[in-house]
Amino acid sequence: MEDELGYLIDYGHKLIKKGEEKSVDWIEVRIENTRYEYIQYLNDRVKEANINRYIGVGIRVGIDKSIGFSSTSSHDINRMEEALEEAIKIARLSNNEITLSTEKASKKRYELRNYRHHPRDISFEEKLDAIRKIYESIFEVSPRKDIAKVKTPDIEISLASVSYGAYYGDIIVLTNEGVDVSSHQILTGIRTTVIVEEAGKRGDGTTYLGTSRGMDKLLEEDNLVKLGVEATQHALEKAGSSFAPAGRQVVIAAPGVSGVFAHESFGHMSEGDFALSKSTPLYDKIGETLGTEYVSIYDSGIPPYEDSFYYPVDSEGVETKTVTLVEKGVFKGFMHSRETAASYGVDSTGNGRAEDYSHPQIVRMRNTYFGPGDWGYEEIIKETKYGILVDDERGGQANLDGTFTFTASRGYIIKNGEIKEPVRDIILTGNILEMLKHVDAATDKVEILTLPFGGCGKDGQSVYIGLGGPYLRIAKLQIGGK
Amino acid sequence: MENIIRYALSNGADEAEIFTRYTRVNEARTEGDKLKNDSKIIIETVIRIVVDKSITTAYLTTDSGDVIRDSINDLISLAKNTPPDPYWEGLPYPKKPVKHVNAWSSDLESIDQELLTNLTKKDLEYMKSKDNRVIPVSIKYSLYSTGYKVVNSNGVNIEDRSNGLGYFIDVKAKDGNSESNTFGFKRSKTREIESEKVIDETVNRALELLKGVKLDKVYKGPVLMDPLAVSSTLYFSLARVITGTAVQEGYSPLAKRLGEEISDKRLTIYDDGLLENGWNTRNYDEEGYPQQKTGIIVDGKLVGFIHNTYTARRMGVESTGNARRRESMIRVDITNLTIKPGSKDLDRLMSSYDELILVRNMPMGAHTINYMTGSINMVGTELYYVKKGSIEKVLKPLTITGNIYEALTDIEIGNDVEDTFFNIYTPSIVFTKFTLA
Repeated sequence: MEDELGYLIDYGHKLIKKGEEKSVDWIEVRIENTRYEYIQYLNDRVKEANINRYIGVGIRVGIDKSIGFSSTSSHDINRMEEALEEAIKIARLSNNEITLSTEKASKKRYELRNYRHHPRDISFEEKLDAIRKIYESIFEVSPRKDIAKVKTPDIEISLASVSYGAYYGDIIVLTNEGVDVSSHQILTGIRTTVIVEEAGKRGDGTTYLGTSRGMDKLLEEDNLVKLGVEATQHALEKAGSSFAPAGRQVVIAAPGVSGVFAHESFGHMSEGDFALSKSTPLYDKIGETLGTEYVSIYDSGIPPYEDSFYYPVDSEGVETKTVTLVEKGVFKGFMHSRETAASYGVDSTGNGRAEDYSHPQIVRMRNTYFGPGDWGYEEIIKETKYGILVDDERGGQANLDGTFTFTASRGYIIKNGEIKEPVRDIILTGNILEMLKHVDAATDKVEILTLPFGGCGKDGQSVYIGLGGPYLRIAKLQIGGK
Repeated sequence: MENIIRYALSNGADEAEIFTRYTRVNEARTEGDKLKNDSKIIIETVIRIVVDKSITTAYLTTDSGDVIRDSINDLISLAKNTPPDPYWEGLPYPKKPVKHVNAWSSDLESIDQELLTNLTKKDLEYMKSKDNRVIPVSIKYSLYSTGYKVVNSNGVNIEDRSNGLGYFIDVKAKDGNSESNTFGFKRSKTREIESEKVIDETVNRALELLKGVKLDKVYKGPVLMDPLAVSSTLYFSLARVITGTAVQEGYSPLAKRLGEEISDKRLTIYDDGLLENGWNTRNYDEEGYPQQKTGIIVDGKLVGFIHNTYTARRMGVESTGNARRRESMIRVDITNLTIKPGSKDLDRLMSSYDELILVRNMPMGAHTINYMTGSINMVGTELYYVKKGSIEKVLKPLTITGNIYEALTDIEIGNDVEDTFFNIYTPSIVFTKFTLA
């Protein structure tokens, strides 16, 4: 792997020289050499054991305020030179009046080293052992006090799945402006899914663990057992629960659900490209109060929280900055790539990201989260007369006008300050700009969730992200359902 | 590739398969007023190695022989440490295609980056000239050409190719405090994409949506979904549970219902891998097995599931040619799902009911449908209240709830079949069991 990287970097420098010979004003070569490991243990057997390798080069050139991009996954320098020619041709065709912000040229290697076990150093057998521990805990540990084992005549586990994923490798960005940065990216995780059928009713439960800090947490037995047991508990709980009452309710969003609001709804509306095209209603709202004092929203490549997605430098070689999108209710600004930053006359915030070498950089989020408040978790529950605590986000959809519909897989009715019966598949709908006006409490601890499964999609590109926040209480939010 | 197979067998593999695909994509698009162009060449190699019923796969973005051989050695070693899959019964054997289909359009060969760029510029100007309340968010042309080859140790050695042109527009409209956002699309195997027609229709819808009013009641009557609303709903529900994988792994509610009547008798659905001009029409699927036409629901009765070789053999049936690859995973997926049209056009469907709500385009959150249970909770964003066959008013977004599998038991099907980007070819359908609020 290191050898391949060496010759690719060598080719990268040659391409830059070649671009200059062809009189481009500016050239950037982005090289990728990454891996993705995936193992799925499904219904008593190894269903998938996969190793993916992504090696390729993306070339971006600037000629007379016009930009062109082309890429190739070929290892052949001749084909890479063809991609350079293509990028030049596209730049000349586009005549797109694009300039990029001027950023400090840096030469640096970024690598997180605060973990003991890298996935490449852990054998397949050890990974499989960890997966099996989770799998066994799905069945063998009593998930409820009233049954000894899940395998009883009335309860059938119709699906049990444990997936392990690990993404890691190097991204290098070189430019003729002197940028020469490389970053070692790493994201590992486990997802456990259980479907149970009890007395003709189905319930599903999913648990996750994701981190940019290597394999350490994924090898700790306590974590593994918890992932299996809780997945079964959630599935059983859902099988026995009903839908949440529809209508406007007090909602307490767990950190993962808060994160979906921060990322999917508000985050996308705060991306610099949408501001430029005026497709977000926030394009002229900097400085306006959008929410209560409990609303602070950030996007960061290196947030100060455990288990976030480590993203120190973006796909344009710009070091990532923490962007304050909202501070105590006031909208502060947008996230920028070099392109949108130039249009706004500001510095890039390090949000220029590409899915891989074959895609051009666009404005993307990193870790997006609500900041902490000053409430304790117990306090927020105790001070809620009637409401619904929602957890386990299952995604949804948000429009750029602020409307959203998100699903939380599990929830609990809160009555007179106590958590009562569980509810399932809670649909949250509304408009984020309205919702932010009703956030009346936030706990003092922030949790971030990141996973190497799927990612955030935009313009046909999917990137890994983190999202999160504290427990947020929203005084009025529409719950869909029966 | 045959050499690579021999290399794998001589180094300890019991079975081996190599899939290679070369794809070229040219795109021209706008972001606001800015024109963006790019092109890419993607080389993909997928290796599947089996040792003593243990299956391992690798996905590589290269066709380099050295990297492929390295990966084969990694996979053989991995397979030797992987427990066997008791259901594995081998890679596919060669089989002749059902009939020869041509998924390659020579008409598209003459399109180049320059033409795409010029078309995009022209469309941007056209859209801007339509109405000053309209904000073009994005216009995108995408041309792809792909060729793939599958070789395995059982003698499969096939190749196929296809190309296509896609068009997508994202439009916003703003009038005072009222805003709307919608999109339009078209895809074609010819150069005739009729972009101005797509722009006209999409812009008109964006402007109509500015007039949306609230429906101050819970509505439980007939709901007419247009082809895109139907296809997005079925793609995230029915299409996911008619696969051999869903049936065998325990998440299909249809697993034990083969031969039973599961829907309205007017419903007939085929997966047609040989559909004329179908977007996914090919001679072979992505493990080299012939594509075909497979009955799923005929006159309301569940008659079959779709399979790749693995799921078919596990169920003791023949593959239906539905193997699809996503990087290293070999899945079962629909090719072209077709819904048999009824006799009424959209106007006649609308006038058949005293009142109904017309749902157009893809409802928000369609992808969150619980396909295991059929539970739907999505938000219709393009809604029209229809009284005695005429659109009376445009509605603001409403939540659509219900159960898709129950809803399919009472439907009326139109005849306006459209290609949708979910690979479902469907007409509009009236449902009676949804609640809108």
